[in-house]
Amino acid sequence: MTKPRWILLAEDNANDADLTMRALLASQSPGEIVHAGDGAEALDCLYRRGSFQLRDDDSPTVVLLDLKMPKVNGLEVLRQIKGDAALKNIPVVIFTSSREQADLAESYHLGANAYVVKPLGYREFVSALTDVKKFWLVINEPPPDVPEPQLAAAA
Amino acid sequence: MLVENAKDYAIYMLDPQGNVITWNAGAELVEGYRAEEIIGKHLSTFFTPEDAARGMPQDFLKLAEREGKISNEGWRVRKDGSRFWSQGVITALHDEEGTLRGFSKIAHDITREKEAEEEIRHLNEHLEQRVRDRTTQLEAANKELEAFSYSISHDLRAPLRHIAGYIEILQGETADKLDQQAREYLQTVADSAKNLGELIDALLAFSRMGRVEMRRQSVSLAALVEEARRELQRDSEGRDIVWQIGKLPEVQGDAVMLRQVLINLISNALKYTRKRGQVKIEIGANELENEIVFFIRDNGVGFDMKYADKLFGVFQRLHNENGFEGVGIGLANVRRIIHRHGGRTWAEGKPDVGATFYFSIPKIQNGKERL
Repeated sequence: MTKPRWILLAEDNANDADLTMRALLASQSPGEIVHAGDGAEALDCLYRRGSFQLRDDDSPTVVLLDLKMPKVNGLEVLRQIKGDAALKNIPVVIFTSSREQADLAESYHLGANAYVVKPLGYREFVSALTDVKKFWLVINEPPPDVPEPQLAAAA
Repeated sequence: MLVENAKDYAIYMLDPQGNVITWNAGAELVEGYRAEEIIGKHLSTFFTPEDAARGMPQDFLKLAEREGKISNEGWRVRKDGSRFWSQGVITALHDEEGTLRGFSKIAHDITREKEAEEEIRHLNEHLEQRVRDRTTQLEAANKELEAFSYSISHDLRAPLRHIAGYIEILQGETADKLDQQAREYLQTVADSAKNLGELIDALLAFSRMGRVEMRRQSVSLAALVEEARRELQRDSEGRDIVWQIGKLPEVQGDAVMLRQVLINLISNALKYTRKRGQVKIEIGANELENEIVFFIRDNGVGFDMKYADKLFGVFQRLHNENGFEGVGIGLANVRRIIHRHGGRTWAEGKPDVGATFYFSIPKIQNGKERL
């Protein structure tokens, strides 16, 4: 029995979230999209706490992660994911406006699996998201099951 | 007498104990004492109280007696108490039997030279401090610029993306519900958003070019031309283009930047020949003694030489509407990069005949880079 594949979208801007959801849902491949409005919510979802306490017992197939978010920003979320034994196998695709070298370097340094710059034109935007969704939810083999995520201990 | 009138020099004699026995006009000028006031007084009268207390005059005399002649330099005191910087020689005088008869002293007031030296040293320190300050200011300005570019990259793009996105969604959802005019308005908004996007990207690339470190290495222009052509494949697809590419040498420069130069120039050639049936693009290079001159010639719309100097300015466009899109920053970028390489850019054109763009890259001589 294969687990359903789903995407965790961490995006703070309402319009970007809306456009992204539309693009992702318009594509042919199935897959639920869960939207976290900021970094803190994204982490709550991954650790299945807070408002995400009652989620099913599995991790997202891929995390689509915006960089500039309030409370906990994208790089911090990335650091926590990749620093946690139970979460680090989850693919993280950075999805951001920024093409700055510093962000690119730091993201990969922290272990991002991919880095996609949000296209300006809508057609390219949809096309990019369709491709990303198809690759990570259909073509790519997700990592095998991992044990319960532990709440981040000190160091 | 000569000694009497040697005005800039104090020339006088001392007895074996160091008391003044003769005095010249120069000494009067330098030290301030008249002969009758100073004759019989000790050498230490001219030294500062601190130096006199330390026994400096006596030490000099003893040294002069031993060595025969010594030079000395230091602050001395005039009759009126004012200080001056003296440079002088004390010579011990002996008779035929070798007995010490006294000393002759020549002293020269070089206070002005000393002060000038001090001033220069002070100015140099001051200058170095100013350079340090200026460097700090520049670094701060650079940091601000980076932050500014970053902010543009993120903050401006997002709302623009939303405009483009929702217009397109609107166009899709209202396709058959709106009349021709309304659909045109929507398209205008969509086009403007696209334009704005290109402007922002161009500005960012332009600013980034100024901030990035240059990495010099041996670069094959031929390889870069091929890469540029591949990158611009879409613009040349399906068109009748005759490429005439001559032998292209290697140059010393930053590969990434030069690649951008070629992309910009070839892209322009492709763009402005769009109305031609058969396009002819000629690329070549001439190796001169001190530099390599590269050219790219097209048979496109060309330009009026009257406006040649505007071509490379930022946001300068000689062909506005009529289907030549773009924001006019490509050539400004080219110029900026080539200037950073120490080269020149220029162009020739004839309306409706074509245009030739040139740039030069200096050859590195003996490992010395000309920046």
